[in-house]
Parts: sequence; structure tokens; C-alpha cells
Amino acid sequence: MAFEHSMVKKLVGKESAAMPAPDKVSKSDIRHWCEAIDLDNTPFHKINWKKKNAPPAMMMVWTMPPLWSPEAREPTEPHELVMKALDDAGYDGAIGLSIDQEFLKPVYVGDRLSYKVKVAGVSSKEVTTKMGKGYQVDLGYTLSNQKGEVVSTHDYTLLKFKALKPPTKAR
Amino acid sequence: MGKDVEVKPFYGPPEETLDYDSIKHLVGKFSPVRLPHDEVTESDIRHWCEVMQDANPLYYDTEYARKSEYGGMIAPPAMVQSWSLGTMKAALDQFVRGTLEHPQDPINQVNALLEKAGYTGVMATAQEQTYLKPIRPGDVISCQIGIVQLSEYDHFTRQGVSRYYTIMYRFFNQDEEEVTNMTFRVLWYKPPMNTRQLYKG
Repeated sequence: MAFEHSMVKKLVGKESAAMPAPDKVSKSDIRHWCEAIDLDNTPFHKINWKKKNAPPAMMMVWTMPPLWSPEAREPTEPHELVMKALDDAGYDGAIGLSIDQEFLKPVYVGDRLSYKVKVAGVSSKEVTTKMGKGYQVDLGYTLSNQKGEVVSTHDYTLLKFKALKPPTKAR
Repeated sequence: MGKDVEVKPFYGPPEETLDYDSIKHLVGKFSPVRLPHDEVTESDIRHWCEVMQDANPLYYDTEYARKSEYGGMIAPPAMVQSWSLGTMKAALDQFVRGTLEHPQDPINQVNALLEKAGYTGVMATAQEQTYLKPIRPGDVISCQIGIVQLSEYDHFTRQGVSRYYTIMYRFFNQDEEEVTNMTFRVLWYKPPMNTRQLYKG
């Protein structure tokens, strides 16, 4: 199926419904993250969690979609529909190009975030890159905590591309 | 073709073997009970279920779990060891830098003695877990490790001259109830000369 820009044009500017993060902000995830980037190794029972907020750069972790879920769901939100349209047209590779994050409020252990994703734009023409031909998608994330306060916003740009086939060896 | 074949004597010098009596005092000894680095969390349970593709609703559906015989969410029992895993730093220290967090633990003393006696190969052979009580989110699972059995004599296996030992992990929750115990059987062997040469390069 060929991809036509008109298919996603009506989705540009639309925002998804608020989607809950799969998990609460948890001590163990913070420790794992800190451990992986070699920041801190303090065991959880030695930290005063009432005073300590989660690392802001970890913001995207809390709202990451699961790898696998017992209940498969169909894409319904605007950004999911854009991704599906591009996937169906063969642009199944994805690579993040840039992310601008703004941290507005600290996040604490036990917070349950929710997020909305807005399709800010899809490039009107196919772009040619070294990764292959593709479309650039701009997404705007808004993350809120359980009190409804916006804690962070992300402007995320990614490239959905048709991966180049490796050159066939001449015999 | 077969010109310079080195003929080795059939009877080599006798290899030294481990004296069980020198190590006997450590068998049956346990390490102190140690606190974990994290408590049991729903997010870690979800991550594990995702990787295992385990769709048991007892592990994620609070409503279902509440009505079940467990009366609330539980953690997958097979996940028990992940609650007491050491830090990444401790693992790197042990396997890369060769320094141990607790060298005085009976198990570590036995490991050191076996290695010194030439049993340098390690192979896990059996693991058995007994689930005594459910583990729930929010629990703090502490652990102690002991050595419960060690071969008194050498075994002759395909891996080489070897000894078995069985170690036992005991897991406790914050109320000091034993939730799981696990035995782990390991074969320590002296790699034959050709294997040793292979690894030396």
C-alpha cells in the first residue's frame, strides 16, 4: 500500500486522550536507571524518598509503552494511526532524530503519570536519508501527574523509514 | 603427516586432589541474612511478565487477584531470585575485577578453596525451588546462602575430574517468614589439558 500524505493530514494537530503510565514511579526503577548510568548505588532503605525526586532525565521511562501485553489493542490515538499508516506503507524502520524536554515540576516516588501525544507534523514529502527514504514525524508529549499538574513536555522528532536493503554480493 | 607426533607418557604425575576434611567445617554453614537492594514492585513484576510473556492475571490484574485465593496481587514465584540480586557493581566486581563483596561467606570460602585446588571449571547442573508463601508487591525479600552438600570424593565426568556441591538459598520476607527456598547444584571440574590450552590461546 502506497503512502499518501493526505491519509495523515487530517491527524496533524490532533491530540490523543490522556493515557495512563503503565506503572507508578518506583524506587526500584530509579535505582536501576541510576545504576545503569553509574550515578548512584545507594540501597533503597538508605534513601529518604520523601525528599528525593526521580531523575528528570528519566521522564520518558515512566510512560514507555510495554514491550508485550496480554491484551493486544488496536491503534486508536492519532499518533498511533500515523505510525500504523506509515508501517503499512512499508516505512517500518524508526529512528529518533531529536528530543527537546522541558521539566516543569519534580516527580516523586508513588506518582502515577499520564500522558497525551499530539501529532505536531508529518513531512509533506518523502525525505531521502542515508538510512533510506522516509517521513519525518513530529510529536508533542505532555506529561501530567495524578493531581493534573503538567510535569514535563517533550518535542520529539522521529524518522519512519524504509530500510535500505543490504547490497547483494556479486558472484 | 604424523612426522612430529609427540609421544606423551601414559602415566602422568599424580594430580593433587582436594581433601574433604579440610573443607568439611564449611558444609552446612549459612551466610548472614542480607537485605535486598529493592523492594518488590509492580513495575519489576510487569517487566518480568513482559519478557516472559506471562499473561497470568494474578500478576497484573488487581481486581482478579483480590477475588482469587491469594486475596491480592502476587509476584511470579519463579521471579524470587531477582528480588535479592546484587547490584551491577557487585557483579562487575566479582566477575571482572575478581573482588568479592563478602569473601568471608562460607560459600565464597568454599569457592576459593575449590579454585585453588584446580577445580576451575563451573557448570550449573540443577536447580530446585520450593514456594512456601506468596510474595507480594511491597515485600522486602532478604536472602541467605549456605552450602549444604559437597562431594567427599572426585567424580569422573566428561567435563573432567570434578566435585559437586549443593548450595541453598533461603528467602525471607519482612515478617521473617521463609517464602522460598532454593537448592542449586554446581559441578566444579578440572578442565582437561586440551581445554585449558584452548582457553590459554
